[in-house]
Amino acid sequence: MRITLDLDSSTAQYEQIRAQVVALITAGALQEGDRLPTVRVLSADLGIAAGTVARAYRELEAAGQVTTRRRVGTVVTAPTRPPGRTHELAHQLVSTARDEGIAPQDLIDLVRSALLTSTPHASA
Amino acid sequence: MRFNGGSVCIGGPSGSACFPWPEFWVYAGSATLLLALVLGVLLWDARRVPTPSEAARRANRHATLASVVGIAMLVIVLMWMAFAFVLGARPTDGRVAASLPALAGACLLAAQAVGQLTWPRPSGSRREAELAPRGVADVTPSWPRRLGIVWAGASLVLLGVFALVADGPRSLVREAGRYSEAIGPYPGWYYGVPMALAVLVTVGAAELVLRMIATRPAVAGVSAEWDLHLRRRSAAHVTRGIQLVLAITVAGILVAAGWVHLSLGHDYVELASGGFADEGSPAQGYLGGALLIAALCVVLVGLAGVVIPQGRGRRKAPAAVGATVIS
Repeated sequence: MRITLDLDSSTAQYEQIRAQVVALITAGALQEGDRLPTVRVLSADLGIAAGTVARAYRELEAAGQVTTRRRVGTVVTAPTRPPGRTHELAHQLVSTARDEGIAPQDLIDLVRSALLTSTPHASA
Repeated sequence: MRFNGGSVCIGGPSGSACFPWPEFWVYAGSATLLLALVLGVLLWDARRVPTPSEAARRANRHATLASVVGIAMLVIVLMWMAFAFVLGARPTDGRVAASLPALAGACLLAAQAVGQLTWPRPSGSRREAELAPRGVADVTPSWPRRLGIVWAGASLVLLGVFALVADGPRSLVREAGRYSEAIGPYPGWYYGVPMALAVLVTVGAAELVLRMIATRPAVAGVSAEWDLHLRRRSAAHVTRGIQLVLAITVAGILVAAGWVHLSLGHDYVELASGGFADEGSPAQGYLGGALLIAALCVVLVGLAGVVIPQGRGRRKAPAAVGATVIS
């Protein structure tokens, strides 16, 4: 289970790390209790500053995705699944996109455009 | 070193030791053969690792270089120590002689530390990392590390006991009627304090180097198992070498104490009627003998700790194919 970092991307490095960890947690690849590498190990493997990894972990901890404990390190807490059918529909969308040969980045752009153009429903 | 007719003389702080050419070639040849054997095994082990990518080849070469330099220096210092004691050219200050094993360990650790500090950092705009924790326990073989800790603990306990038993800072006293004789060198506090410090520093430095091995950057484009195998190989060289150094330290303490107790076991006194009587203490003699046998056992176990292979599953290098990336 690996993450990648694109130094040429316009997305901040800590955000890339944070987003991928969240995706793995949401997908169930990372489960509650799984330990993440230490800041030092992950920053050495990626060849980036330790502060960048530390910020990603802080953001994850602030969102309740992980928790950091002394002598244990950073541990995944219970993943938060979106309520209703959204999680299931998201998986169907990915599966359909793959069948139709749509690249992952194009799919992400598609979802972003949908978020920008759709009007929010009035709450009941 | 100087040549004196048909002899070679090697000088040390306590004087020169001269021996004929054939004997010199035997010593020099043995030392060269031992060093070549050790380095040959290291290089053969390194060549067995599959390295399909250039990054893997460079990483394997870098790790092997650090190990070869460190182990070569360790072997050279230990051989120099052994020959110096055998040939009578040891340092005049016994504390220096007692710290020579620690010096050998320091050479090994220094070479490995340089190797880890100069490990190639990730390059390129696209980087990957395994999302799995990695610590010293994941890369270090358990039994050589435990054996090293056992030797370190044993040396500290022995130094404490002998310091309490000693009649002076570095001797035991033989009482014989109106006269007394100090017999040494005995591992009292004179040798015990620097040796204990050397042991503690060696263990601490070894832990530091193992941590460096565990946290060095991962090799790009290879599987996590391959990367872990390379780390475990480096850590194994460190733990096996350090446990040998600590075993030699324990053996040295036992030999120094054993010889003195053995000496106290015999005290030949001239009789008025002619001849000699042994008025030594048999108990001291037995204790001395037991300590010397224990020293031999410690050395044999220490050497076994160097040559005994790890479990089969851990020795074979896995394929170096990269893992599937989730981005």
